[in-house]
Amino acid sequence: MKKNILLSVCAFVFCCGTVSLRASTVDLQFDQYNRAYAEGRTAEALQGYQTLLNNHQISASLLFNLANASYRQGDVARAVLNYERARLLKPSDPDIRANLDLVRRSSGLTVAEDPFWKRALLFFSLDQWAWFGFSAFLLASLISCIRGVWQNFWPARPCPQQLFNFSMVAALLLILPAAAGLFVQSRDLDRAVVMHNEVMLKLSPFDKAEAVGELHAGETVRPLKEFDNYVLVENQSGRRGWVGKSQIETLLPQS
Amino acid sequence: MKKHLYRIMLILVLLAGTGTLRSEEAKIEARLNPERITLGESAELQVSISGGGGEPKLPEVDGLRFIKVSQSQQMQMINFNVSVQNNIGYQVQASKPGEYQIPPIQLVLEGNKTLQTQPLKLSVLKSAAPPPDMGGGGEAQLPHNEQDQLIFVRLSKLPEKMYSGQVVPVTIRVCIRNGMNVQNLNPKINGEAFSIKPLEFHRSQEQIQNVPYEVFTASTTLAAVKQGTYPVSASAEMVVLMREKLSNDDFMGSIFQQLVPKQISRESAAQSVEVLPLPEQNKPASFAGAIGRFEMSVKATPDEVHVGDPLTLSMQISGIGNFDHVSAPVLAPDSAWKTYTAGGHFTPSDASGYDGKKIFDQPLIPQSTSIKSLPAVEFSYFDPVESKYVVLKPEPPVVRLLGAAGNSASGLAASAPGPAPVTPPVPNPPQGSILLPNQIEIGALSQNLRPVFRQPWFWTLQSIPLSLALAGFFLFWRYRLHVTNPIRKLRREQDRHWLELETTMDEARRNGDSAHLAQAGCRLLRERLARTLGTSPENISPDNLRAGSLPQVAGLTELLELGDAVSYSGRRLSSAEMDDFIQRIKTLSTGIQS
Repeated sequence: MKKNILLSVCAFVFCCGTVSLRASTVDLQFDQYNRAYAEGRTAEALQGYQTLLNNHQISASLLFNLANASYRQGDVARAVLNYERARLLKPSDPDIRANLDLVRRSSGLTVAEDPFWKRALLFFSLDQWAWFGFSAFLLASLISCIRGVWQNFWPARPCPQQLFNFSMVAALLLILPAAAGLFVQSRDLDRAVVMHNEVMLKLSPFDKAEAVGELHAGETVRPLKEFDNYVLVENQSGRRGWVGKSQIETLLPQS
Repeated sequence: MKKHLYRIMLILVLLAGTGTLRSEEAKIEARLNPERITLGESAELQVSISGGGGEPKLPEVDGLRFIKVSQSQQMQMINFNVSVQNNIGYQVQASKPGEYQIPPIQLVLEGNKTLQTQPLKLSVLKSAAPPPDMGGGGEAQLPHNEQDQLIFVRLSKLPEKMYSGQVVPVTIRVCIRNGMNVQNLNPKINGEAFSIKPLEFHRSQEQIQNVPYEVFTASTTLAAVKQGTYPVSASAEMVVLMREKLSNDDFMGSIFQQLVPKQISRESAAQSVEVLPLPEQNKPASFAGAIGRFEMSVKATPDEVHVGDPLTLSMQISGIGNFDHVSAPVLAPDSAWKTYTAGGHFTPSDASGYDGKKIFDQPLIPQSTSIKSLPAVEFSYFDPVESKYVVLKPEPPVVRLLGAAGNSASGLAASAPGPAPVTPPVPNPPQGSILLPNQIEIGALSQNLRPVFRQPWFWTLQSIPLSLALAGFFLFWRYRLHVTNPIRKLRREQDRHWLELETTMDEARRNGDSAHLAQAGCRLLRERLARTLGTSPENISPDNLRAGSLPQVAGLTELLELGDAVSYSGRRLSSAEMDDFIQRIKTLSTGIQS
């Protein structure tokens, strides 16, 4: 028995140590690429950030720095894509918003101003809203359960009905902003960024189809449906047309 | 006597009627029919006053004239309630076209109480034809052919010369003196070289030479289609019901008459019009058949557009003429702009559609960032008054063309050639220098960007609070069932009562009160046994127990007898007896319950 306990403790310490070591390695690498960027070695920094991303080490800061490096390299589309991805993780970060607007303005792209209620719902990220909603639901359920147990098993003891009711309603009300936050942000989740310049928006999903408009690199569109190698998209002004799958990249990677 | 009675009853009925009349709420209403007329026509204003008398005070409206044409009184008695209504009719004439607001018409009652109507609106459209020779007001002398006529037809003055395809406004008026009984009225314009739009008549009342007439007016347009000189006139065929005496005797003839239908026809004086061909000299290439006098304005929306995004060029042609032949202005060919067919819609300003505006919306898509201006727009028409062609070339509006993202040529402006202003291009900031700097801390790391609410495990996790919520609901339901069950409710009340009885026994023991102790104890025993046996506590008595009608419980009879004796005979128990009594009661109670 003692042997088992000792083995378990050793395994736990080893795991913690591995995780900590890995985290510190990532921090070191991140610092190194930041230094490269600051010294003007943008290509090196860009490649380093990309390597970290490929190793599934994703964070809002990493995506932000990657976007900065992409823009410095003249890749507006990838800059916009990475700023948008960083915003998914940290929607209330003013730095991300400022740089994204700047890149869009300087590239002649439309900059949409969010209404105040949307800004309020962007205070938390999607994950934070999801956990917030879950916690509120769990709290309401727990209160409901405790009240039920109290009433059924200790009927002689006076039950603080008002306290239970108030707590349960308050917990249920907390679910509403969480639902609104999830709804609003999830609508932005399924967007894509046009990765090439002068992408022709076609009337139908065929190579020889007539063009109905043009999209520019960095423009955000909403994919609606797919057909062969084409995707039907809607741009910010509501115009629809077909573009090649390879010409856009979704905010959420497809893999 | 009977005669007196009838008189009294008649007076009572009259008084009742007067009382009803006085008690009725006074009301004034005004109606205008029609609410839209053409200049030269008149509308009928009907003012109804009920429950009161007096002359309404008509407001003064600049450009409008009110002529009183009729007055009538209507009395009704329904269930002995008498109501009187005065109807006053006015003819409303306008001196100029426009939108008129007629303020409330006021009626001053006794006691300086004032009633008023709702304000009314009257739209007076421009007449398609010049009104002077139409004699709308009745002041002018009647033409020779209309004197002593009960019915006559008028056609507005036409130009002596017209061009093929030219459209002129024309108004036909059929005037029938009031009192004539006319049916099957069929007015028309006669002119074989002209195309005439269908006639739509409005009916109005007018005073011509101070004689009231019923006037049927139609405004339309006349389009010249054939070259040459042709007469134009207006005519009307109708059936008039004439009174015919059935007797030659004057007196009998005035009594015995019959209405006889007679087909009659009236025609206006013919006018001669010469239709000329359009000159071929100096005819512009963009001429598409528009004849009249027009103006053109152009605007573009939005005023800022990306390459590939559409913009709409709105071209408005306004004026007078043959709008049927007004087609979209011609755009100068420019391969940098993709164009689609322009859609147009016409909004008339008068009843005949001679005056108005036609707007063409032309979709355009810029195809290149090298565009410097919008394509030039041209519209041409023939002016029949000046007898020459006119070409309109308005300045194209300024549109800022935004270049493609990341393109160094972004922020180009498309503007009018020549003097039109050019918007400066949007400057491209020095790359990287004004971006907010990199973040130093990498922050919380995650494996992927997919949010937790899109992961299946997150929804599986929801089963925990969901199960808890279901359990809570079930427990709540169980509790509600328990609380609302009547048998359980009764038992809970009994249990509470027994607890109270036990407390009473304990208190009586402490106070040495044998009577209260015995009463509470016996009551407790009886109620417990009664619930077990399903009978009333009053049935539990020593006599019934002894008679064998109840199941035998050892010691119960004696205990009940002792209790009754202590309760009602005044016998007192010692401390030891009280303790024994309580002990026996509790033992029996436990036995009965089990």
